[in-house]
Amino acid sequence: MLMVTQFYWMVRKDLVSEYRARQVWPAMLMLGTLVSFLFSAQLDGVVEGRSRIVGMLVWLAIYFAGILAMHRTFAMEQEDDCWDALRLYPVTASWIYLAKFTVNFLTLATLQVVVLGLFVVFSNVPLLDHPLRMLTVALLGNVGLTSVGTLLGGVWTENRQGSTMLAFLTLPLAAPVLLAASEATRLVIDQEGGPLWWRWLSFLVVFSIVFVTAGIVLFELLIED
Amino acid sequence: MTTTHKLCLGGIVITMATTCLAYMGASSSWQFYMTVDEFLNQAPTSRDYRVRLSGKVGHDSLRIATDRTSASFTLVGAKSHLRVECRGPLPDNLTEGLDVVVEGHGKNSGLFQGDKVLTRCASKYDASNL
Amino acid sequence: MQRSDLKIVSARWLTWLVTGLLVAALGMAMRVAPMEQSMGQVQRILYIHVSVAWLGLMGFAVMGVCAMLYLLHRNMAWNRWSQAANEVGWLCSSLTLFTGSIWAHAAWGTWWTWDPRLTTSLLLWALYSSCLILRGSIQESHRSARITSSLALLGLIDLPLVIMATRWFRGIHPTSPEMEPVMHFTLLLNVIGFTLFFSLLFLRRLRQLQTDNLLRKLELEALVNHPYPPLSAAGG
Repeated sequence: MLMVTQFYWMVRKDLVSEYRARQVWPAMLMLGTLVSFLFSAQLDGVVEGRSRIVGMLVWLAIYFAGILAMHRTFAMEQEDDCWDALRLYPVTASWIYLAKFTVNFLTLATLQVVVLGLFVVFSNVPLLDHPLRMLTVALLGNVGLTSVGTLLGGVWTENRQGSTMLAFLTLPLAAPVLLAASEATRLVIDQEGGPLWWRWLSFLVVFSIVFVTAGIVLFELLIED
Repeated sequence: MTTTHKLCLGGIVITMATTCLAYMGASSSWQFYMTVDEFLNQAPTSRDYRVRLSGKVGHDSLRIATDRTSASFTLVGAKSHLRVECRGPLPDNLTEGLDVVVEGHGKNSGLFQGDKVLTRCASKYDASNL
Repeated sequence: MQRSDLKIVSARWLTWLVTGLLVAALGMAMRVAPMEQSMGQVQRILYIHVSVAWLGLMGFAVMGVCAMLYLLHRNMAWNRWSQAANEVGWLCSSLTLFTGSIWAHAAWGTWWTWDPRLTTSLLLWALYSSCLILRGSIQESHRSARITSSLALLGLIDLPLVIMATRWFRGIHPTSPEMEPVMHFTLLLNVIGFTLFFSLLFLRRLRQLQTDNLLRKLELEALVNHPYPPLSAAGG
């Protein structure tokens, strides 16, 4: 029970400080909006294979804007040595990982709502005709990306070019999620349910299990000094 | 719980999950290509999507345009065969009787519209007699 | 293994022996092995491709195991092993993709396709590269070692996928095709030749890293013993 309370306060502290300072969300949402807008504008002339392209672009927009946010949740701990204080907190590193994971998950979910909304409006693709399916894909893709981003985000808390390094190093690990999520999104747009869609979903589930486990186990090694 | 315990437990979970994934991948519908027979066993209406098909180029069926930008041939499977029309760059060694993989769309008319042909290596490497 | 144990790797005769064997193996691949019937001369790239591919996988396994040993014992010696394996393995992995691409262009008619083996191999190369960049981008040695080792350990998941890709999944990449006995023998010779050559490269790199470490240690000791060197000595 104590663990849950501590977990709650770690998440709450991040959300409250973000609400007060509003550092990450405006920048991230702006980037997400701009990227979605540009991608959609460029899509205007494309007729064939539209769903395939949109599927990938949606996830690229989410990925690039999301990385910015995942880096910031750690970078903001640098102020007044908050990071050291957090590590002195009597919880194991695994709980810090889970708390940061939760914050990043919520941030990315907000971003997804915006990006998906913009793509529906600007690119004229029926992304939301099967809202339940799209929701499932978005949630699982989010968990996959967040688990990788949070795991590696802890590495560059102080580094100045951290977000660039993070985007660079997350890509090989996150590439399977991006591909699977894009493919699942394409199948949602093309209204093809069936075994293939389930397979990509189960891939996302397995990926999430692997990387959340890896995060819980390895985070300790990544952040110790 | 020590770090070593955690590492072991994590390793077990990850190994199990990966094995599970590999098992899923090995079962049918998540593959690099389909065979001609599998493709033709589907209802004709559901064939209009992008797919890679594997089969042999049928004897006396290969027609290559003189500028090598298009070709047509019969793709032969174990039981059935399919007419293929292919536009796009062709490999130099495309000949009859060769195993190929064609990328393209199925058409309702029973024709397969390809845009890329990959020739497959022989499963046995024989010495040339030259 | 200590630095002095590896003295033999810098022996000149060993270098000549290993290089000679590699050249002989390559010569066999070019001249003695028969030309393949359906693919022609380009099939000879098989001898190099298979050898470096095997070493790319081997390198990752060595890197992963040494990374695990580092994490368990926190001994920088294991990290030097892991780093040497990373560098040589990256080279082999790059060569695998390069030679494979040339061969694919000739045999399949495309430079690249998303076959399971090709995809997982590309991922392996990306993981190698990430580890390599990580090593260079973090200054503090134990921190760098810890983080790189974690990534290398995580990357081990991809290894069985590359190895089993042609057996578990359906793709265009061949799975150990049958071949003429002469071809088989040439391949074996090349695998041995390349393995010895890259092992030597690996051990030499390892020795270099160990020497580097020793120098730093001596430098530190000298500083501790003579904290304020005279100006004339510092200038040199």
